[in-house]
Amino acid sequence: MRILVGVKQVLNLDEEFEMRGDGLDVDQDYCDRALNEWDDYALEEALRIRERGGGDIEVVAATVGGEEATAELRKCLAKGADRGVRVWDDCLRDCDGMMVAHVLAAIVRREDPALVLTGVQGADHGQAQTGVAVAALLGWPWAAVVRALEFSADAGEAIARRELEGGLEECIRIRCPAVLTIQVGINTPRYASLRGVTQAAGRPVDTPAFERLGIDAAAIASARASRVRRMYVPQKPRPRMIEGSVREQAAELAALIRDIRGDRR
Amino acid sequence: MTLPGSTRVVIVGGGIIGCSVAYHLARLGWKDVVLLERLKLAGGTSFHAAGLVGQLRTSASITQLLGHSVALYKTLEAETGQATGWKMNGGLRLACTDARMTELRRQATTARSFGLEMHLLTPTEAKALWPLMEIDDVVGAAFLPTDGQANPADITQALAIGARRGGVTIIEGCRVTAVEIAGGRVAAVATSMGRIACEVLVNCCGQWAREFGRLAGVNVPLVSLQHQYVITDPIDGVVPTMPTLRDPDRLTYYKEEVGGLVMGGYEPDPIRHDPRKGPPRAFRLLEPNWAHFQQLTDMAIGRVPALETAGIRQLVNGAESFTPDGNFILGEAPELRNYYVAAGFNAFGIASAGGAGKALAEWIVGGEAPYDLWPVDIRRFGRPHGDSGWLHARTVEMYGKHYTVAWPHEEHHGGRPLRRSPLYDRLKAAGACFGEKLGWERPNWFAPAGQTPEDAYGFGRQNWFAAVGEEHRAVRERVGLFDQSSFAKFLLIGRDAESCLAWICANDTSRPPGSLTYTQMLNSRGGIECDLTVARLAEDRFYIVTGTGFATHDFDWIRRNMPAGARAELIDVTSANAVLSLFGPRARTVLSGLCEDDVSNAAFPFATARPLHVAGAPVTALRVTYVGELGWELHVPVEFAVSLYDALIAAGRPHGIANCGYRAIESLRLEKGYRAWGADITPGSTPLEAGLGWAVKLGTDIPFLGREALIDQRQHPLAKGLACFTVDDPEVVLLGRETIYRNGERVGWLTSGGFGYTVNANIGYGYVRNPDGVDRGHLGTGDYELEVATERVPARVHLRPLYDPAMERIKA
Repeated sequence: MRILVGVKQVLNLDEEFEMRGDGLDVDQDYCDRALNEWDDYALEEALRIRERGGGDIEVVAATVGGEEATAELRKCLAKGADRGVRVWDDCLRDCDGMMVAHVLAAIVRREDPALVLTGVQGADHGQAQTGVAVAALLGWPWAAVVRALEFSADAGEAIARRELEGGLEECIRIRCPAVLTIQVGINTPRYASLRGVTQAAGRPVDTPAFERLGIDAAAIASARASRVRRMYVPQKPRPRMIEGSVREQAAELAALIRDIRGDRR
Repeated sequence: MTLPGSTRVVIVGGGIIGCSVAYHLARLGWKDVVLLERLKLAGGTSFHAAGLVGQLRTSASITQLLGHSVALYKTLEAETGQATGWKMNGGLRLACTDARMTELRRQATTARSFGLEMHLLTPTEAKALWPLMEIDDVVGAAFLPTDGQANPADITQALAIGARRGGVTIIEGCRVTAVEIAGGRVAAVATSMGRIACEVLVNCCGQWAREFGRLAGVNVPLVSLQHQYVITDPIDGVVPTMPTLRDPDRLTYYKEEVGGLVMGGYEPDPIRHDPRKGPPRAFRLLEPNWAHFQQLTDMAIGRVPALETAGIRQLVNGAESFTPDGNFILGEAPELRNYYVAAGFNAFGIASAGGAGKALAEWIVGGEAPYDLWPVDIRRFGRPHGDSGWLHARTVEMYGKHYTVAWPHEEHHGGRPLRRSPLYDRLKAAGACFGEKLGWERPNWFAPAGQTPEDAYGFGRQNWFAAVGEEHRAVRERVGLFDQSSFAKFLLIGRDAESCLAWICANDTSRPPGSLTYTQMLNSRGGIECDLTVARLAEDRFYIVTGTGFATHDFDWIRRNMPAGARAELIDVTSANAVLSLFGPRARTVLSGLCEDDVSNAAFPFATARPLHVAGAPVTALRVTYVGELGWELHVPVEFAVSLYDALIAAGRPHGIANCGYRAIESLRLEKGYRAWGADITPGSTPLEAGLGWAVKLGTDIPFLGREALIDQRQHPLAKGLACFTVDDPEVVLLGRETIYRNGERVGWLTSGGFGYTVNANIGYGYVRNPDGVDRGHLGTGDYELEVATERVPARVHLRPLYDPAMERIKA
């Protein structure tokens, strides 16, 4: 039996940073790379299921990313994942969550896991899209924002408690295979040990090309659902008292509204 | 915050050392100080330093400097209210081989010499202090109870708080873009926030110090290397009272941190970092490199098995600056007046910063080094140190040797050979084993037929001992030829040359042309800054010869102390002349066979200089010696050197001439009682203390630098005096730093140690200290013992040279 954990390498912004020349992202020189925090909890949950469930559960960490993302897979292996899968193609540069979901779904089809865990969202773009999109593409049941999980391989189902707005929780029983997106706080992720790091060095990281996954660049490119038009640091407006008579205040307010709306007379 | 238009001192760099210099300047009452930090305080290297604070170094004064750090860190938190994480949990050091144990024993004696507590422990005793470790392979250990650890970022902030309270202005986010120079001095800096005029500039830019130095033409020879350590989750059994642990045979170190361990080390193949790469970012770490760190984890797990399964919070990869000799860089740059440097801390910046900041602040305020700082003085560098390829080769080697046994007489190999005398190939063919100084290849000894010219290191007699004995005997009994081309040589030319030297030299150099004077140059405290010979070639022309390693330092000392407006030019002619030194009772016979000039004692007496023509070469011959025999230094334009060498060897062959090297010189000079600058005589000792009062012109009324201090010192009992010691036991090896006991009381340590083949004894020199005063009577009486590698051996004291005290051989 297999659990697949989808992980992402994210960029942690430094206190001071600069935008990339094309204005579509931050300059990566100002970032440290790290494993997405939510994914760390998803991995930990998979490792705990394996530890509770005995010997024949395999935990596979999969990522969509370039060579530099291997470092994050190595971290997952050092913590205890059995092997890693990394997929990359130049068409994925500046990709959105839907494109990632298509690639991840292809990996899932090949790996045939009983359970797919991902973090709720990426710490960078925060779209919370990839996990549920994978489920949709596979036609699998899914549950998002999972705060507690009981998984029974024998019964082929999981009981998940989901976090809802307003402090509510929802407890659902879900048929497997399924995709669950994991919320931080569900567990306390472990640190890798030196032994783990050493062992991870000997564990395989597979890097299948698109052809081996049965997908092609054109299909992935056409899956794009969004495109970053501009990324910028918003100007923080300064509050200001509008003074004068009622008439003057109203006139100034109206002018401000027109200005913000961009009305031209 | 706006920038002031002018200030007395600008410190560039807000790491721990910049903040320490600022703090100490404020304590000395200099409040007109501005510290400019490009990004954030402690955001460069300081924040990721491991924070171990050890104190023992091979130099007494640097050990004392590190002791100042400890003294400061003890009270800094109470003074500033900023937590510093300082704790005096002691330092433990392991030995896993017999050689390492001998090194520890010698270090324990060195510690005792310098007044630092250090205990030798059995493996079991060591384990009691550090229960998590396995001791199967441990032979012994040493414990320094006054060592400790601190939180580097917090110490930096505490120093900044103290500096601000003392009146220093600290500005973050201000980048210095240019240095303005006027009249050979620092005048101002241009910054991203405007210009500040200043009298003094201090480069505390850490791994950016080299690049920043270039802005003003100042060379700060350091290299950035990646240094990694892990921080673990809490581990059962790790307690805050555990001492820091150094395990040099496994290349690793440890300290406790929040119930877990910090473990790092010094791999033999460090990875270079280019600090100019990437945009400036505060608190920047490099990508962890697990594959490279693996070699250290394997060794560490063998020592501390709990590390294998402990959670690793982080593998910290931080770039730090390292120097080609493993010591930091302090002092006023020889290239530019009022430009000071404190950088290149070789991963012991936290241990050094408190004391180094104090020393540099005193240096700035007082205008000269406050005590002997030669081991860290920026003027110890020279021509090879400007090249990044050379720097990298040597610095990587020294990083890799951080934890290897520091062998006596050890030579290093990175960046060699670089500077070669014209005789290099000849000497190599003759079996020379070369050493290196300031880039020069110098013959240390010559291997006889059948022996490989290669040092085999050990703490006993090394493999060159017999060969050097043969060279020694050749000089004493026949004649030896030394290639001393690496001597630093200067010409001082001009109508004020005589008056310049009269002011700078302690001895009387204003004698007629043709005279040669051995002299010291003193600082205002009477301490010996230079020890050299001055030959007057003409009324307005002086030829100055000093040690290879002192080229930059002595040149700088002379130039900076020449009276303002003096009409004299100091020129470095080191590379113009080769030097062939011919010494031994048959030296005159050999020389006279090759030249028509009269070299008899009457025509060419001791302490004179003459132009000669020897075997067709125009030679400036100096009748002087550092070995205690009749002879000459033959200074010759380099293109004549090979011909002259061939002629001397040929003419000397019937007289048993031998090629001789620097190790023979050391043995010969120890017997004759000649002092070595940097060891027996330093800026921290005066000619009166060193027994060199005969070479000081106090009997004249000529004013000279240091005169007042000596006159003052002469009126009081001396606190220390240099004496010679011999140990007859042939099993003993003296290396220097052995403790001197007089009537059972610790009174000092050896500044030099070696073996004299003619007197057939171990010889050491050292200062005997006594608060009530030291005179010849005091020195010459009492029962002396030396502590050698923790064992005391009986020693005899001598107040006259062991060899030829009447100077009959030299003046023959």
